[in-house]
Amino acid sequence: MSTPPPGDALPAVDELTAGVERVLAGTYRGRDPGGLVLATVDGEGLVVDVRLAPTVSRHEARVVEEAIRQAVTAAQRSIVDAFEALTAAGPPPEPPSMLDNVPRVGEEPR
Amino acid sequence: MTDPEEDGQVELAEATAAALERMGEAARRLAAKETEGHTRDGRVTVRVDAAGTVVRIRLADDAVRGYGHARLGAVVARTLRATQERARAAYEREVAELTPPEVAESRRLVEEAQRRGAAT
Repeated sequence: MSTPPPGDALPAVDELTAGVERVLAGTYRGRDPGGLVLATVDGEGLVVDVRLAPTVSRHEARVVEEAIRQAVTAAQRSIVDAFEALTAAGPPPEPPSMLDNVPRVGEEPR
Repeated sequence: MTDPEEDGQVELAEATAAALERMGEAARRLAAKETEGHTRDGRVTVRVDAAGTVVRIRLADDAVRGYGHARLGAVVARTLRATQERARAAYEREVAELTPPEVAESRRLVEEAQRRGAAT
């Protein structure tokens, strides 16, 4: 692998900065393994939305608590993945999942 | 002959690096600190750390049937968000309080240089 000329450093930094801004501006979704909860967080990991499946009332409160925690953690994990993708080899990623990750109005977990 | 201004900058940089290391350890401890939040009726209690990680959620046994699934989701989201914001604000406040003078001075110099760069 050849070393890029110094002139290339600036665009790379600009691309990375733009990538970081895209990640921070996105929203990210996560589910618990049982599919009871769909959580959405913003690019800083703050909770935006939590949706519970209608079947949630069949479960003990302890199960629902853990499902919510897992769903939020999974959504926050997506932010880490997006940051890791920025620094991975290859061209900077498009903001792929940003729009896909925005929950549709009225959407419920499975 | 040495440049006294340059010597001063090197000294400041070294002192800043050492202070940052000490501050980093304290900041890591603060980041792990947990904050609790709950609804007015006490049926939802959450606990998060300064990074926003959800440590624990507690729902009263009647919370799911009492609120219904849609409203409970909204209540949990609101409670989590408010607690995350509170935890973050406390973290930022406490980190700002423990910022050593060397770090504050270095930050001031960097910001001044940035302002000068932006003006040219």
